[in-house]
Amino acid sequence: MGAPLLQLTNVTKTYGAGAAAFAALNGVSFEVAEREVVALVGPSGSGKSTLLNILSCLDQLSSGAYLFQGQDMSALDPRRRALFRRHLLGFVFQDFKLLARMTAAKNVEMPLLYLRVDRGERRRLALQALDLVGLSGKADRRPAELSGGQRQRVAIARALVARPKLILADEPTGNLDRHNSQEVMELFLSLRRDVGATLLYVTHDEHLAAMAGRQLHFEDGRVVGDDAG
Amino acid sequence: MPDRTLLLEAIRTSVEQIRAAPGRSFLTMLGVLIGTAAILAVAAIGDGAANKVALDIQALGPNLVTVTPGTDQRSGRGGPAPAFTPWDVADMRRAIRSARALSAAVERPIIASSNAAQADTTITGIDPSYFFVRHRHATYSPGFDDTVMASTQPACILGDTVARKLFGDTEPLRRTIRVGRQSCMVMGLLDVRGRTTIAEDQDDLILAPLAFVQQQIAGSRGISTIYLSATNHAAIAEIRWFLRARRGLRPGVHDDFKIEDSKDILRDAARISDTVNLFIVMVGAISLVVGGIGISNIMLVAAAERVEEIGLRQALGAEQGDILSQFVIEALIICGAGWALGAVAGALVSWLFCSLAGFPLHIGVTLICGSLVFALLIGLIFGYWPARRASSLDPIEALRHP
Repeated sequence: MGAPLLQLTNVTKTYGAGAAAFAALNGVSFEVAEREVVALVGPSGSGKSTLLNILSCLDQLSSGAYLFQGQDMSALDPRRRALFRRHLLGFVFQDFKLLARMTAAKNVEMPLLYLRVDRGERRRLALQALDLVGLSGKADRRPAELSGGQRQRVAIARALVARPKLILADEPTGNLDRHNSQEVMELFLSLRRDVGATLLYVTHDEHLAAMAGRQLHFEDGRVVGDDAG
Repeated sequence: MPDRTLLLEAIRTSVEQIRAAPGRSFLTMLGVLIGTAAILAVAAIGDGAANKVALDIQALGPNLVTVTPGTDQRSGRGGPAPAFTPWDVADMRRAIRSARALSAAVERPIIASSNAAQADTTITGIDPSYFFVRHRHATYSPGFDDTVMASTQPACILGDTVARKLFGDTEPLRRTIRVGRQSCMVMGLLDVRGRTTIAEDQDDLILAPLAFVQQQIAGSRGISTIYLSATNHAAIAEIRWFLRARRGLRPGVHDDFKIEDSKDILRDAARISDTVNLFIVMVGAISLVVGGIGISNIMLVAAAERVEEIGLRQALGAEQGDILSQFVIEALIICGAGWALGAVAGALVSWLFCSLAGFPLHIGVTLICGSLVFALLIGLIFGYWPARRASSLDPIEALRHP
């Protein structure tokens, strides 16, 4: 499989203090190799989303260690955390999080904006990414003019356009029907393979979880199962 | 500072935002618009008035010094002071070294009439040097020139206003008019000057030979005004010392005459407009500040509406500074647009006012740039705090926002 891309050791995340303290993550340890695809499964409130926030450095862990390519991520200042997301990370959200006032292409361009890619090149890369997700004719449509499945494809194009090392997806097909889910997920996985990104995605759907090479099962802020599928 | 890519994007986003809600954007700009328009118009109109004053001074003769008998209101003596005599004038002409030329005049209010009409005006008895000292000139009936004013002839020169009142559109030259109980013939027409800044009609007068006015109208040889064309600033002091000695004023006694230069005459007008200017500029500045508060408000609303977007941008790798600058740029663009509309409105108002008042219109580059800088400064000051708030949102909270 290759060298570990990321490595979590005994990570905890506690909200509040004293008697009211609540541990969203309670000693989580695992490693993910480069190009690995991991499904994070478990009931709501089991810590999956908190884990994504920690992995993306949107949130900071309370104790333990998070190494990304051997670097300690808990020591980064806010600016470096932003740079980490900008250069190495891609996101797919359950509710797409496309900006309604922008066209599909403009939405896809957004990560490139912060990479300071100039306008013409942004447009070219966005069109290319939209082409890959099968929306070549819909670049100048706004999200409201697209179906749910098409919107999530736009979101996937946005996650891939900057060719990130790691893609984090929070129930990427949670808002889609079963048929659409399957199709979008297959597309997502195949494009991810082409880009060579590592993918961690949260899902409730066993069927979708089975599409990953590995499932991490969460319960009460702990990893209770690690199955290579 | 954001680099060019982000700067352009922020500008595009701002323009999109403004276009998405044009009504709201316009209301937001209104404060800045009104403030800019007010300041611009006041400055331009004030400038126009100042230029008009300068032109008036130029027209009066920049070196004109006017000497009239009379005590100052503050002086203890009160009462009318003796007029100047022809001997005063003759001696002054010799004694005052800083006067290039000197002209004696006697002025009386008078009813003038032609066969057709009547005019309530003034008649001024003058000598030929009047034209040089006062920077005026007359067009004469053939065979006449300025020297007629050295004679005792019943000849007169009409100012344009009087000529129109008495003769309408018919030719006044060589016609006879009555001034008081005397008759005199119109031998010339005075050049047209219009009104001064203080609305004094410079064409509402009749000029006649000094001796004629003294003998036939005033009934005395007194001189009511001495005009001098000064060569330097010492003139006023020189005239003052001469007249004090001449009139036997002991030290401690106030002058019983008044010396004014052309700037004094128009200074009051300028002073009034300064007060008004200051007031309107203050109103303009207050309006800009109120406009700034409006901008603060709308930026807070804009940030609240876009919480999710801010979270998303943070997730995609925007730094705090990127978000901050985006919102500051939006505030700057709103202010800039408000300024542009305000500048157009201010220019229109200035143009309208100046053409009505007869002021020369001039809107300087300094004024344009200064008001722009001021408007942008307002945007920066009032846009910063909401931008700061937007940029320090917790990304997780922001992303959870519906």
